[in-house]
Amino acid sequence: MSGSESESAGNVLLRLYIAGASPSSGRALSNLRAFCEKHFGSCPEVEVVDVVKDAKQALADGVIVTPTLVRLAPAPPQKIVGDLSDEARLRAAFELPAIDA
Amino acid sequence: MASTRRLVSIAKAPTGNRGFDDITRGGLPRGRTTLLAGGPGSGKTIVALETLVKGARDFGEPGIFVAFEEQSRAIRENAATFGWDIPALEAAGTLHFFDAQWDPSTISAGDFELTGLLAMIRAKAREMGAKRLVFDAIDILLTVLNDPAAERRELLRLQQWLVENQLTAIVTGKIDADDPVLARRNTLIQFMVDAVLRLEQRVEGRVTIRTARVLKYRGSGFAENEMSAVIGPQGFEIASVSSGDKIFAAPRGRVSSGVERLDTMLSGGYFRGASVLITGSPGTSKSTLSCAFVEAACARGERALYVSFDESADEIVRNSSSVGIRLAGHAKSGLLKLQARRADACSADAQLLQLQALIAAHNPTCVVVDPVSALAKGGGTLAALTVCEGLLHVTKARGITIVCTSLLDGSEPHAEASSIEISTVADTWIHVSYTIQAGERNRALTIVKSRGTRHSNQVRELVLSERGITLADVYTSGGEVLMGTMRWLKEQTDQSDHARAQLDIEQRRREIEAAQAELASRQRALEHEMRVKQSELARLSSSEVVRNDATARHHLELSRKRSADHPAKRNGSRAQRAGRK
Repeated sequence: MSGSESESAGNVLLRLYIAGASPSSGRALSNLRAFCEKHFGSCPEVEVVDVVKDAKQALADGVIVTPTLVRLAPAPPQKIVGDLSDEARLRAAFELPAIDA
Repeated sequence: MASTRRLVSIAKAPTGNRGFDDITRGGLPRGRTTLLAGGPGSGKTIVALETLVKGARDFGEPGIFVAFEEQSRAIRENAATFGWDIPALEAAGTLHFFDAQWDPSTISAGDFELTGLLAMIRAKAREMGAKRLVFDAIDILLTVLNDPAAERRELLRLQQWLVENQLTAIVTGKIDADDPVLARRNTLIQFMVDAVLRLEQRVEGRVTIRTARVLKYRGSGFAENEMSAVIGPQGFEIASVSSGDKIFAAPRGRVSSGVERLDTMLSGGYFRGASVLITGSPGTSKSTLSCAFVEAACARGERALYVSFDESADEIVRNSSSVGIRLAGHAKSGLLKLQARRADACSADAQLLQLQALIAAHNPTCVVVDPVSALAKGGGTLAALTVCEGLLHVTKARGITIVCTSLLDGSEPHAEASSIEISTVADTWIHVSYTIQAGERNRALTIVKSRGTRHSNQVRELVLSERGITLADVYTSGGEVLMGTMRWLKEQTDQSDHARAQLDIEQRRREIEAAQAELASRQRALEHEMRVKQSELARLSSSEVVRNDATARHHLELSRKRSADHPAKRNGSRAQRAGRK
């Protein structure tokens, strides 16, 4: 399954905005790790930004809600909001082909 | 007493918008949340922003504007048109914008929450000591959540956050009672806020009508009525009638109508500070009467304002000069302000605010609105009547005498419903109509009512000529006032009758004078004759005495010579002479 993927973990750059220790933030991080391992074989480097601690950075990136995942590379950047529990949406966000039912 | 009151009444934060502070009796609930609801273009963003701008500028309360819909750049640009210096406030650190527009390319993959945003706002609020906060277009954010349960959860989170942070907050949102999603959301939001202000915008007769209303205000009284409003050069302005309770001292003096004989009919003119309505069919010289009124005002050195919805300033000057009314000089000197306006340019309420501004700027004692019925074009008759009342209120408060004209066909004003029923409000009502007599159309003027004034009840003919405007003398015939050429004929007949009578009198007088002269000369002749006779008589008497003395001496001489004594004889002869005389 993973052999058909067009991306590899190496050229993916991710930044995840979370709000402190909120439950959805924790879920987002674990969901993201599981997704990456499943599709890329390994988890790429994820920069985690806590908006409560670093509000300015979040503002500069136009982050309104948490959690927000920003795929910085490959370009163009893509924002994905939510706890990343929706795998189909996440596949679309990473431009992976949809899984046939 | 004051301290007790402070305990029961809630603290308020003035918005700085006079109209809103008026209808909310002092401003928004301090440290609490107000919902500003309304459809697209109803002015929510402007009102919310004004509250922040005035808060920062005038009340020392810094604020944060969170823009979910419009970009802050666009909001800043709009604000500049109202004269609010946003960059200065931003530089001073008393106003801050958060651009929180939703990126439409964002992919939603599971539940999310506002915690992050709220954390950022809290950080900024602490940094700048913010007291006020605006969430503009909360509905956009809630739509993104796309889940009733999430909406509810996040709204409650927001409410809790607002309560914790003690900010005076405004949440703006669209409201549409017909949309079930919005209606449900609305119910939820209304529950979490302490006050709800509703702004509306609708179109009546192609004209935009704006209104503002307080729907609820926990712990405070408020003006319950729907208020007319406009978005004008100062921002969102509410045509508030807070001066409605004021009782004006009734001015006592009189002010000329500009037509001397009309003044006489009104026992000296209009009351100063009164409202005058001149109704009539098209062309019955309503405008001319109005021009005469302002000309007279300017001639007295008073300032006058003439607002016309029909004619341009040049047309007013030109047309009135054809009947001997000279306005050009007064317009040039600045005493008279001629203002041409388009009736359908904006709503009646907007017109009122602009008229108010004109009056405040020019400060006239006499105002003409010609015709006031044009206001009905801006949102229907009800709006026009409200605006008329508002206008009369303004002029009464300033002691201004106002003449309004209104189109009204027919000769019997009472039988006709005045298009905007201003006639009930006006102090003096003059109706000009055409009367047709002997195949002629003439202008007939009636004073329908004039409060507090004895006034003539006679229908008079209004006569316009290059020498001016006046009322003709009354000629009645068979119970009707004669007008036009019939009046002229009657005048001519009367004049010739009068001339003839005059001649007759003259002739008779001459005859009598001649007779008198004759009698006088006869009298003089008789007197002369009398004097002649008297002198003749006197002469006669004296010669007889001389003669008698001589005779007596002669007798005496004889007697002495004859030694006879006959004194009685002499006496007897004297008696005989008297009898002869």
